[in-house]
Amino acid sequence: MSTPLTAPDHVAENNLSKLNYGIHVIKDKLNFQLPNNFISLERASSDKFYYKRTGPFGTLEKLISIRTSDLEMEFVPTHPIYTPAYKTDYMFLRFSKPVFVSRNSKTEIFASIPIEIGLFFTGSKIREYFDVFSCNVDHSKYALYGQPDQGILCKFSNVTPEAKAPKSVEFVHGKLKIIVNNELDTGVSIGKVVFPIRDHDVYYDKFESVYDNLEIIIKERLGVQVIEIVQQDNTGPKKWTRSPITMEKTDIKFSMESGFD
Amino acid sequence: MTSFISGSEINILGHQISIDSLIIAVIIMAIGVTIAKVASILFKKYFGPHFEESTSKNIGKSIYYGIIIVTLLAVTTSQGIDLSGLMVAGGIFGIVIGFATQSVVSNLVSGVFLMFDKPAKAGDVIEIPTSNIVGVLLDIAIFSTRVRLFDGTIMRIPNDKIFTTNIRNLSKTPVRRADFAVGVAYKENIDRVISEIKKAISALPYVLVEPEPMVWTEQLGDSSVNLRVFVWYPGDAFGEVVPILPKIIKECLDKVGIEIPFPQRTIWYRRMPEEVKPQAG
Repeated sequence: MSTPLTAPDHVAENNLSKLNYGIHVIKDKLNFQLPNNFISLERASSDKFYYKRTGPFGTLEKLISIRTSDLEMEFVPTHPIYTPAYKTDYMFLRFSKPVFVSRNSKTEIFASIPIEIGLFFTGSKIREYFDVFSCNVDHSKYALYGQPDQGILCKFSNVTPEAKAPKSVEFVHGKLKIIVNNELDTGVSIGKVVFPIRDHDVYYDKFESVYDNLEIIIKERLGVQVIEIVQQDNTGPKKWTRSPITMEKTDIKFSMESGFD
Repeated sequence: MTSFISGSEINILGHQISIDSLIIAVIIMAIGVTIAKVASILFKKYFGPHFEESTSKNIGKSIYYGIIIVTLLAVTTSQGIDLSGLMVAGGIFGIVIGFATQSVVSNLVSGVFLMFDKPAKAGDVIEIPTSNIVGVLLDIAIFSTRVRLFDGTIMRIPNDKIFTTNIRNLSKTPVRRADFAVGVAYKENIDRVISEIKKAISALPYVLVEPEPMVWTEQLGDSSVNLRVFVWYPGDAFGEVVPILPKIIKECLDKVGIEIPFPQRTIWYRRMPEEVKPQAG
């Protein structure tokens, strides 16, 4: 749905504020607006808040119980795997134009890839979120990598590979640097990249977000051209904050063995 | 079995067994039962999680009853009871029982084979086409398999039926395909119809982008051009795609003014020449 939503009745237009990523302490009330979503938090009692979000899929309402006197909320970019439902840890990036990599060469490309917005309670390393949503319904898509019997269900996104770091849409995209290393003696065209995104950290600063770098190594294994996926840790900009994670990292070793054209 | 008490001894199968010895037998049996229980619990606690729930249950039961049987043999042997006579009688009795309980044994053996074959695990949605059964597999026990049907009832199916029939596992693959037929009027531009249907179904979040939805012309029917729509969706998103697909397609075609015709027949009248009309009377 690309039509912009109008503010619902419970949110007065003049009360909407644009929120930056980070930790926010809410004493009584907070209304804010994001692309396609309107959010309202209001104190219900000394230890409870009403939460209401109106988005493209309808309205979500919750009564939130808190442990502290005020609601301490971390508003962050997170992995695009939670909406419309958590079904996979993998991301399927379909390049709008293929990337040709010469034989035995290494290059870097950039892409804006989807993020979702997570509202977390502050606290421990592995956090509890009370809502995760997407600001672009076109990001709520799935695709299959491989054959129907043994393939992998992935979240899907059409991305444009860029030579330089692109400008990303606030609250919608995060930047990803992909280091492409072709170890083959022939040049290859890459039309898609599939990788386990849950192990990939996201960093934020005010309104911007960036993922850890992704290295893809094109090699031949048992006569088949494959892409080995290597996650590069701690490559986010210094002084940026790492988004909380919802689950322990799996450290999956993954190779694309079902083609990459 | 006849037994009677004579002084401090009891006669069992022609053997004089003392009360003391009998007490020892009871103690051995009690220890055996305790060991069986402990072994079964320890298995479930430490090894059970490595197996599927139903397999774990069955192995636990096998351990329990195995130890009980061994204990019984130990008890009878310790009392000096000669079971060779029972063995011969048991052999003949076994043949009789074997014929009488053929289906029970068949279910038992099928149950064991199903544990190794593993056509589905607890929680999978399965279909048994020959029996018209579709539901969630609850467990595969020693003699029977239980399936929770979608009307909320539980169906118990003997294992030999499960083992010898076709089972369709609807949960084993990450994705599934749905197809749906729709007819449009002959006057419509088919390329436009296909484009509009693809646009409408692609908007559904659980319809996969790759493999992309397909629509092809299946048949030039009596009243309509029949198209078939194929979409892939995540295996567990049946409810979010299949039931609403016809509605989405109908709404989309209505919106863009594409006609879904009713069955119709064109009747032509011909006036017959006067000279061939049958003469009355």
